[in-house]
Amino acid sequence: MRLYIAILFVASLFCLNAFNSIAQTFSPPPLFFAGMDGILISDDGMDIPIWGYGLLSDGYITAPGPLLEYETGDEVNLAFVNNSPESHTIHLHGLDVDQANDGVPTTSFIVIMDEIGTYSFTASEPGTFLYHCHVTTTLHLTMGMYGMILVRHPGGVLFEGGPSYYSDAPLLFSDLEIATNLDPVQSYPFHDIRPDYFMVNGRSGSQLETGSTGIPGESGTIISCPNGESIALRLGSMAYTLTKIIIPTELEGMCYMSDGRPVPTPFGVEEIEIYPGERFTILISPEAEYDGSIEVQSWDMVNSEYLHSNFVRIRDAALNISTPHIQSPLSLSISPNPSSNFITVNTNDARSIEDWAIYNASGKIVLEGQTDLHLMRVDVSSLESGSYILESINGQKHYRARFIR
Amino acid sequence: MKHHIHLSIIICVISLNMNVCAQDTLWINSGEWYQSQDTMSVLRFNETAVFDTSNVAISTFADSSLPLTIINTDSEPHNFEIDGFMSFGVGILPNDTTTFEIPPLSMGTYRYFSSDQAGLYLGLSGVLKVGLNMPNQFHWNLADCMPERMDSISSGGELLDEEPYIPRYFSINSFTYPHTALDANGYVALSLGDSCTISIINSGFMDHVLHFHGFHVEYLSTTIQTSRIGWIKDTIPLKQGEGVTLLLIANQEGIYPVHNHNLIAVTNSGFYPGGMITLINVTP
Repeated sequence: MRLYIAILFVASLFCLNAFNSIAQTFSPPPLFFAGMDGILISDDGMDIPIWGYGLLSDGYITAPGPLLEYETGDEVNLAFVNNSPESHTIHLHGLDVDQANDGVPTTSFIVIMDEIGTYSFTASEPGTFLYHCHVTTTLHLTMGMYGMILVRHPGGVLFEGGPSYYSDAPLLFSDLEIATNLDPVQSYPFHDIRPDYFMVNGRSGSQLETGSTGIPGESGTIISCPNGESIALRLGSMAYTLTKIIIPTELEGMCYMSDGRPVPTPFGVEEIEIYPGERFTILISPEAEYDGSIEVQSWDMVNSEYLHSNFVRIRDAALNISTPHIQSPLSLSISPNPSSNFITVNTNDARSIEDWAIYNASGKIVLEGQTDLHLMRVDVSSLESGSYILESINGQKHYRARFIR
Repeated sequence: MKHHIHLSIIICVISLNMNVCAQDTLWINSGEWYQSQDTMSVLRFNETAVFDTSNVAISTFADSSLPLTIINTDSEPHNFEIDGFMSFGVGILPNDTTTFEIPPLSMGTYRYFSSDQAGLYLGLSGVLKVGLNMPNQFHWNLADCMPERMDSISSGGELLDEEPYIPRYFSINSFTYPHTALDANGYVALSLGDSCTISIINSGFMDHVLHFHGFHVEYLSTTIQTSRIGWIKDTIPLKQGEGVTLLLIANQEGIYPVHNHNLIAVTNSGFYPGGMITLINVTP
C-alpha cells in the first residue's frame, strides 16, 4: 500500500492538476505570452504549425521564443499570460531556481488558459541558459515552446575575471518532426519522434541568410564584428538530435563556458558536440576580410546517423554587409496603414494575389479569400482595433505585410 | 546498548536497500522484467543466486586489485569486461564458477558487463565504483531496450540488424519512472547541506543526456570525456559505455527532477512521463 501511494505521488509530479495551480498574479504585468496557433514557414515554403512564446507587444509567437536578457545579479520577475486552451509553464533550464519556480507541473505551478503566472529568481550566475514549457514536455517542446536566456556580466566580460568580447551571437539549435507539428493530437507514441526539420534560431537552409520564417521584418543570421574583436557564440540545444558544430580554424574558436559556468581550462574548438539541453560559450575572432561559415550538423541520437547541415555565415564587418532580405519577386503594400474600414492590397506588379488570409495578433485567421487580381480592396470593418498580418500565398511562396486597424 | 542495536538495524536496512556489493562473488541469473504490457527475459549480475531485476553495484578501493568469483546460473556461457580496462575473454560456462582479478583502477565509476550477444542485449551490465568514500552514494545504471530484439535473442534467434533500432523502454537501475522513486540507489534523498556522489554508467545502445533541475554537479571522473573532469554542469551527456562520477551538493530544499533531455527517453512504450526520470529530494 505504501509503495502504491509513493508511486501515485511521484506520478502526480509530472501530471497536470489544475486544482493545484498556484500561479502568482499580476506583478509585474506580463510582457510575454504563450500561444498554440503560430505558423513557422519552412525553408521550402511549407506552413508548419507551432506552439510557442511571444512578446505581447509583437502579438505573435515564434519558435524559438524571444531571447530573454538579464545581467548578473538581477532579481527577475518573469510573468507570462497563457492565451491558449492548454496549460503551460516555463522551466528556467540551468538557472537552478527553487522548487516553486521550477516550472515542473505540481511541484511548481501550471498556468491555465487566460491566467498569468510569474516566475521569480535571481540571475546569480552569468552565462547561457534556456527556457521551455515542462507540460507534456515531449509534445510542447517539439511544438516549439522554448527559447534562450542570456545572463550577461557587467563590464563586457563573460564572467568575473573572464575574457572581454565585442558582442553576443545567440544560436539556439532545435528541430521538429513535421508530421507531429501538423497533427499533434495524433502524435503518440512519443518514443518514436524522429525530427526531420532542423533549425538555427528557428531558421533553416537559405533562411539563415535571407530570413523568411514568417516573422515580419526579420533579417537573416549573418554574424559580423570589427577586425580584432571577439564574438561570443552563445550555443544551446533544444533539439532531439545531437548537434555537432564545425568551426573553421581561422576563427580561432575558444570555449570558455558550459552550462552557465566557466570551464576550468579554456580550450580551442574546431568541432564540438552539443547534446540536448547543453550550452557552450565560444569566443571567435574573425580575421580581416574573413567570409566563411560555421557548420551545424544534426545527428540522430538513436542510430548515430548524420541527418542534416545548416550553415551560419561569419563575415568581417569591414565587408560592409547589407541587410539580407527575402528574395521576393512579389511585394505587398497595404494602404492606408493604419487603416479604418477598408484596406487596399497591391502586389506592385502584374502578379495576382491569389489565396490570402488576415491573421490577428494571436495568429488566428480572421478573414480570408482568393483573387486573381494584383490589386484588391478588403473590408476590414469587422475587425477589432489592433495589429494584423495579411498573408498572400502565390504558388509555393508566402508574402506578408503588417497593418494596423 | 539499545542505541547500538538500533543503529545496527538501520545500517543493515540501508545496506540491503542500497544493492551495493562489496563481496567478491557475483551470480549471473536469468529472470523476467515486466514493463507496461511487455514481459522481457533478461540477465542480471546479482549478489546471490536469487534473481533480482537490478544489476548489483560493486565497490572497491582505488589502485588495488579485487579478486572476483562469478557463478553462472544461466544456460549460456558469458564473460566479464570493464570498458577499456579489462577483458576476461574466457567464457564463463553454464553452471560453472570462475575466479579472476579486477586490476587496480583509479578513483571513478566504470561499467562492468558481459560482451557476448545475450549479455549485451539482455542487460548483463553493472556499476563498478572505485575509491568512492562519501557517506552518501547513489548510482544510476542507464539502459535502453527494444523488447522485440530481446525476445529474438532470448529465444535463441539472431539479431535482425536490418531492422531499425527503436527503443521503447529507458531505465535507471532497471526502474522506469514513476517506479524510480522506489529505488534507494537512484532516488537521491538528502538533507540540506549534504553532499553525495552519483555514479552513472551508460549500458544502453545509444548516448544519453541527463539534465539536473535545481542543481549543478561537478565531474569527479569520467572514462571517456576526460577533459570534462572538474567541469560544473547541469546537463551531463553519457556516451555508450561511459562511466561518470558526479559530486552533488544539496544547497537548496525541495524536490527536483533529473531526467533525460533526449525526450524520447522520458516515456514508457511511448507514454509520457516515464523512462529515465528520477528525483532529488532535499529535506531541511
